[in-house]
Amino acid sequence: MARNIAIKVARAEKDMTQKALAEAVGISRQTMNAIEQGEYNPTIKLCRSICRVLGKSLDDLFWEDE
Amino acid sequence: MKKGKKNRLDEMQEQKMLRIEHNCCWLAFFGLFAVILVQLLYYGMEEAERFAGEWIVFMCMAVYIVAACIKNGIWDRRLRPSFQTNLYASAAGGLAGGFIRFLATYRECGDLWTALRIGGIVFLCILVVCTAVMSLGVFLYRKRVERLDAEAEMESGDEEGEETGGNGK
Repeated sequence: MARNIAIKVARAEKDMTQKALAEAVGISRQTMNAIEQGEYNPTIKLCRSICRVLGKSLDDLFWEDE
Repeated sequence: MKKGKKNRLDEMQEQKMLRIEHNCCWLAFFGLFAVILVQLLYYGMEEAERFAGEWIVFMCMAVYIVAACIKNGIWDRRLRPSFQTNLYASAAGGLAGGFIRFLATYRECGDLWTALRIGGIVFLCILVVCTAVMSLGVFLYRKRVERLDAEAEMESGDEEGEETGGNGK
């Protein structure tokens, strides 16, 4: 699974650290990092929570261009 | 499974399979625990070799669960890692252990006072040992979480406050 750069960029736009985003979403920092590193495939529920906090759509954060 | 044969289960089936394996694991864990208790009550500590096999498997499962959870920075679904929680959990274990030892001793010698004393000593021993072991577990867990957080920080490449100022897409 490829690294998720879109989340990192989106939280940078919001001036959020990984820790702050993890707390806002209600998950551990390790899980947030694993999602960004592409090591963990989150459920659709968790994807939606991340999108809601960052003000982005699922496509913006989780769609991979071929 | 990953390297060998292709997984024939879809996502939902995989989740259900994990759930089944999870239930099976806990059934085996508490089943072994119940078997050990029954044999302890029936044979007493003098014939502990009768259930040594069950005890070894039970302890292997317990050690694996604790070690794997700490390695992954996980403590418990509901309980917080604190001294107070450890004390309550140890007291509960101590009460159960003390009561079982009380029953086993009373069955062996028939003297209520002796059984109560031995039950009380076992309760205190379990309380102290479990509290100490669980406190060590909490200490190791906290160290591990700190390390995992530091690794996550290094991998993400962001220091606290580094991203302020935002860099667009």
